[in-house]
Amino acid sequence: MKSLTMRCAALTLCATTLAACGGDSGGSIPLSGSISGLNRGGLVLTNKGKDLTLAAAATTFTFADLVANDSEFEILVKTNPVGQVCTPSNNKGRANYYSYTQTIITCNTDLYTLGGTVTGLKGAGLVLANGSITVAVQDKATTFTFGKTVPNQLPYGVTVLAQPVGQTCTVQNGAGIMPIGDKNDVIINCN
Amino acid sequence: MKAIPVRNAAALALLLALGACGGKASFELTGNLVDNFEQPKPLANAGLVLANGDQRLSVPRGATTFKFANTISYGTEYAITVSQQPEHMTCRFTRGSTGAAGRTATISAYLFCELNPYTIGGIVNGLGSGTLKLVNGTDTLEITAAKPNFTMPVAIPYGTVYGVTVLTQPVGQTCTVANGTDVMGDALRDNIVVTCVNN
Repeated sequence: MKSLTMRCAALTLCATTLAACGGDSGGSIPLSGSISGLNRGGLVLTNKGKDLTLAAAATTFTFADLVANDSEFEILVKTNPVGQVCTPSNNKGRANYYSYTQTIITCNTDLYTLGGTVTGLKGAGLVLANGSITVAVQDKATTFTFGKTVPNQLPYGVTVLAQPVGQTCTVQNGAGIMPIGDKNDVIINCN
Repeated sequence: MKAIPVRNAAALALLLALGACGGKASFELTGNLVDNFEQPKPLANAGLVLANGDQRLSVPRGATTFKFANTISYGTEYAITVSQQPEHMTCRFTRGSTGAAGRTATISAYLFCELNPYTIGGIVNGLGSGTLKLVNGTDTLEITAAKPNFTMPVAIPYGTVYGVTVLTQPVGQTCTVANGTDVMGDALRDNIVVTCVNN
């Protein structure tokens, strides 16, 4: 009997030690994570009925209510910002030392089409740029489009990366703030 | 009564054995190529060579993981380093590159690689009392006459196109940009010239 009691006591001690590293079970864990790409207000996250509204440029989040060690969590996007779609990953599990900061919220800004008209283009080789995005404009083209590449509510600026053979083109009305919708009013004049 | 303590002792012994070293005698030296969020990110360029002691490992373009040919035995110290950077890139270990085999169940280092970024900037001539706002893609910068030399906030990775233009003209002036568009090479650019004239 004595040895059984001692062994049981040893196991209990082990269990207590393990529990100690995981924190107590009375709601001590600040459920949190990181946010990438958020550029406006309106994002609301939720975990098991508790909501969290994020500031416009937040890169991290922490739920106000502490959760218990080993309690289940599932962090979801309750409301997306207008013009953005935010997606959670690594967002489900049991709260512990390893998991409580694991969730990543990735926000993508909805892209819209930017384009316009081209006048006087005869030669080949015209390449337009908006930041790192480029579009090659065929000779004699009268319109161009960057396609669906421009994030809404953010700035854009169209420039000439390469001039066509024998001509110089300039950009008119080439910079602004992208609306939540397509924009087709950039003018390229070639002489 | 006798059976119960024996089972308990066996369980305890098993736990102790597992806890001691993960039950392994040799360890693979492995790692992941990751982005800022430790998600897999394929290596963009060739040329990366890693080293651990006198072992070398070439990591090809497109790789998201690596593994040294030789395993190391329990307790052996390791220190993985970047012996040669990929072309136009810089890689650095963010964690797990040093230690002793067996301290963790598996050895898994995290390597972050990016195309070398360089700043773009230049000078604004003739700016009056107004504020000029420049744009490159979604990156913007406000400039006043007090500080006519400028550097755009976001650096440009090697091989990436940039195009600086005017987002907002200063009151009463029109500014034009020269040398604002190009493909980034292997050094910073400070040759952008913005010229402002009164309307």
